[in-house]
Amino acid sequence: MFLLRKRWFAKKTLTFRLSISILTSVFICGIGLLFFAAQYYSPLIKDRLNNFARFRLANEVKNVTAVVLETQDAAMTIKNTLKELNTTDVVLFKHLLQSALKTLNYDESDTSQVWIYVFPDGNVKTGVLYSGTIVDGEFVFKEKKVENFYKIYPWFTKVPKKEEFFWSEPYIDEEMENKPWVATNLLPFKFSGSDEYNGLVAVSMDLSQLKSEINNHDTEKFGRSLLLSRDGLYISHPDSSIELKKTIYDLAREYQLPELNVVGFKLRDGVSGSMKMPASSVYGEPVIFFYAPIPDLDWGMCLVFSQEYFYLPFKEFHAKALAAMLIYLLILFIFIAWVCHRSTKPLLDLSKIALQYGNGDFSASLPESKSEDEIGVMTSAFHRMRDNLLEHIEMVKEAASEAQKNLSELEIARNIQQSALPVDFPSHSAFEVCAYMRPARHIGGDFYDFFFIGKDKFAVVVADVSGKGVPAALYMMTAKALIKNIAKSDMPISRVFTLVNNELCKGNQTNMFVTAFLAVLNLKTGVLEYVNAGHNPPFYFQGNTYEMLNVERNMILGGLEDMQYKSEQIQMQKGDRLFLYTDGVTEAQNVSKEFYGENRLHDELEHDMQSPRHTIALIKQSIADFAGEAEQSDDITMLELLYCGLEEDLLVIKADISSIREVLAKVSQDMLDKNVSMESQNKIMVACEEIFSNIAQYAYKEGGLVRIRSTVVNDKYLLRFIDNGVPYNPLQKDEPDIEADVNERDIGGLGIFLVKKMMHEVNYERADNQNILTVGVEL
Amino acid sequence: MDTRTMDFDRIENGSTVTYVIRGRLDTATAPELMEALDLTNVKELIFDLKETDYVFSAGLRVFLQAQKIINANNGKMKLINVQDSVKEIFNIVGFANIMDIE
Repeated sequence: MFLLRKRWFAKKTLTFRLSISILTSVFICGIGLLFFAAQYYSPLIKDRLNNFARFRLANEVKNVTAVVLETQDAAMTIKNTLKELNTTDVVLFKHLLQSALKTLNYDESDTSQVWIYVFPDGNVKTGVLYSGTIVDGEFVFKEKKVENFYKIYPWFTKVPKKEEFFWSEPYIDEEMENKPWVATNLLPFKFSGSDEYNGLVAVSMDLSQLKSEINNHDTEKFGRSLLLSRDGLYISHPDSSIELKKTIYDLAREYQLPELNVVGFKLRDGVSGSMKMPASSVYGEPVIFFYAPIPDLDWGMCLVFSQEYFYLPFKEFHAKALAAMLIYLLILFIFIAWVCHRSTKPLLDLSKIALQYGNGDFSASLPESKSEDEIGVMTSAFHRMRDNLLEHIEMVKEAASEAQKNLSELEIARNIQQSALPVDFPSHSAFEVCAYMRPARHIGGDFYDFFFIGKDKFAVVVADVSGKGVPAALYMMTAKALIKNIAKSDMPISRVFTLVNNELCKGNQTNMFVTAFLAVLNLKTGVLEYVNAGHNPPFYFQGNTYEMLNVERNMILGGLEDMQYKSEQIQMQKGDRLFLYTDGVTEAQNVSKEFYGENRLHDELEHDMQSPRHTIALIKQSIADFAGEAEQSDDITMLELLYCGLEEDLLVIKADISSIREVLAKVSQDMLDKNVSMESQNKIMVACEEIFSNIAQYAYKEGGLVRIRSTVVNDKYLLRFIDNGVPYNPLQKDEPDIEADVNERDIGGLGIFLVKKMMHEVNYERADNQNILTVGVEL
Repeated sequence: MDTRTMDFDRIENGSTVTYVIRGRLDTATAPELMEALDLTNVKELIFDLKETDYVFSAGLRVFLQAQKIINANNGKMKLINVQDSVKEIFNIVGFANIMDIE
C-alpha cells in the first residue's frame, strides 16, 4: 500500500511533488503554531469574555443599586427632617411626602408610594398611616388610622427594631388600587426625646418599574438578566410567567438543575461568580450564569448567556485562524508551483531536446544557460554532450566506412594467407607431419610450410610475421616463398636464412620482420638440422617426454642485412617429435585475460602420444576450451613432425603375377615379426594381393621391379609399393556399384575397391617418376 | 601363413554340381577355376568354401561370372561353409545381396 502510494507519488511532476512536500510540512507547522496560539490565547479570550460579562453584571447591579439608593435617600431625608423638627404636624407630613415623590421623580405610571407611619411608643400595631402617591399626575395624600399594622403588612414582623434600612420581600400592595408588586424600604425612627421607636418612613418601589429598567438591556449578546430577591424569588426573568411566582430553588427542583441551588446559595451568602449549566427545559441550550449580589438589598443579580453565543468569539477566533492559514497555504502553493514550474521548465525543455537527440535530430538548439545553478550546469553539460555526440557520430560513420573497407581487405589478406598454406600432408614411411593455422580476426601473418628438398630431405617451417592485415599477408607470402625456394637449393640452412634475411631486408620500408624456425630432416640418416631466426623455441619429444629445445635464438629475418645464423642439429630416434608453434598458442587468452602459457601447452602435449594429427587436434581443442568466449587476438599456428625411423626395403621383386606367392609369404612373415593382429593380417593380405597383381598387370609393358617397404608408425602397419611404371593412381578409379543387379554388375574394379574399404589408410604419390602407393592398418 | 596353391573337386549329382574349393582364389589361381567351370545343364551350383582361406578380387570375378551363367540357365547358385574372413569380403563388395551365401 505504502509502496503503491510511493509509486503514485513518484509519477507526479516534480512541481507537484515539491509543492505537496513543502505544503505538508508548512501545514504541520501551521497546525502546531495554531495549537500553540490557541493554548496561549484561549485563556485571554475567556478572560475577556468573563470580564465583559462581569462588567455588564456590575452595571446592572449599579443600576438597581442607584434606584435603591435613591429610594433610601428619600426615606432618609424624610426621617431626618421628622427627627429634627420633632413634630407630628400633618401639613408637614404631606409636604414631606410630596417633595420626596418629586425627588424620586416618578412619572405618571409610577405606582410607588411613600408613607409615614406614626405609632405610640413601642406599639407598632396601632397608629396613623400617612401615605402619598401620584395618581394621574396629581399628588394624593391620605391619612388613615391603623388598627392592626401587621394585618396590612404581614412581613413587618420581620423588621428589626433598629434605625436602619430594611427591605421587604416583594409583595402585592393591597392598599394600592392597581395592586402592584412592590418592595418596600422601611426606616424606623424615634422622635427626639423618645426612647422607643414611634415612627417609620417607607418608600415602596414599584417592581415593574425596576424590571423594565433592567430588561431594557436584555439581548442575546449582552445576556438575559435575572433579578432575585433575598429569598430567591424571581423579580425579573426572561420568562415573565415565572416572575414573582417562583424562586430559583423552585426551578432547581422542577427542572433538576442543582446548579441553580448553588447560584441561589452563593447569592444569599453575598458571593459573586459564574456557573455553567447544561441544556434543560428552562434554558433550551447550555448556558452560563454570571451572578453577583446587590449589597444594599441582599438581592441577587444574574446574567444568563447562551454558551454557544457566549463562546462565539472564541470559536470565531479558531475558525478565522484556520481560514487564514488555509488562505496562506493556498497562496504558498501557488507561489511554490510557480517557482517550481519556472525552475523545472528548462528541465522539461532539455528532456524534449534529449528526446529529439535520441531520435537523431540534432537540429534543436539548446537554450543558453544563463544561471550557474544546477539547471545551468546541466544545460552546459547538454551542450557538451551534443557536441561530443555529433563528433562521435562522425567518428563512428568514418570508422564504419573504414571498417567496410578493412573487411574486404581482411578478406583478401585471409585468402592470401590461407591459400598459401599447404594442406596435403605427405605420407611417408619415415615421418608424419601435421600442421594447423587459425588466423585471428585481424590477420597476423603466421604461416607454416613443409616441402621435400630432393628425395631424402624434408623441411618444415613455422614463422610469424610482425604486423597485421594485407601488408603482413604479403610480407608473409614473400618470406614463405623465399624460404622455400632458397632452402630447396639444398644449401646449408644457416646460409638459407642469411640469404632470406638479406632478400627480406631489401626494400623493407615498412620495417616488417619475420621470426621463423626452419628444420630439415634427413630421411636417410634421421639427422634433424634446424635454424632459428628469433622464433620461440619448439618442444622436442624424446624418450617419453616433451622438453623445450634449447636453441640458438639468432636475429629475426628482415631486420638487418648480412646477419649470420647459427644452425644446430640433433639425431632423431624413431618416435621423436618436433613441435613447432607461434606465440599465438602460448599467448591465447581466456576471458579473464590469462595466457594459455608454455606450461599448459607442455602438459597438454604430454597427454597424447599418437600421431601428429592427434597432437594438433588435441592442442587445438585445448586452446578453444581455454579461450572460451574470448576473442582470438593473434594467429594460432603449430606443426608437428614425427620421425618414424629409417625405412628399409622389405622386398624388391619382378612385377609379375608369378611373384605373388613370394610377396605374400614375405609380407606375411613381416607382419608376424611386427605383431600385426590376425584380423589386420588378413586385410593386408587382401590389399597386398590386389595391389601387387594390379602393378604386375598394368605398370610395365616390358617388365620391371616392384619395391615393397613396410614400417610401423603410431601403432599402424604401413606397406608401401613403389614402381617405376607408367603413372597410374588406382585410387582415382570409379568405384563399382555394389547395389546393382547381378547382371549389371561390372566384373572388374573390385580389387582397388576392396583395398580402399579394408585399409585404414590408403595414399598414392607420384614422385621422382615413381608410383608410390601406401596402405596401412592398425596393428 | 599357408601359401599353398588352390585345388578343387567337382561333385556331380544329377543336375546339382558341387565344387569344393581348397586354398586361395587369387589372381594366379582364379583363372584356373574359371577355366575348369563346366556349367552346362547345371540347375543347382554349390561352392563349398570350407577350406578356402582367401578369396581375392580375381576369385570374386569367378563367382560373379558363375552367378550370371546360372541365372541365364534359370538355375540356383549357393555358397556354403564360407569362412568369416571371406564372408567379409563378399559383404564389402555387395555380393551378399546378389548371392546365396551360407
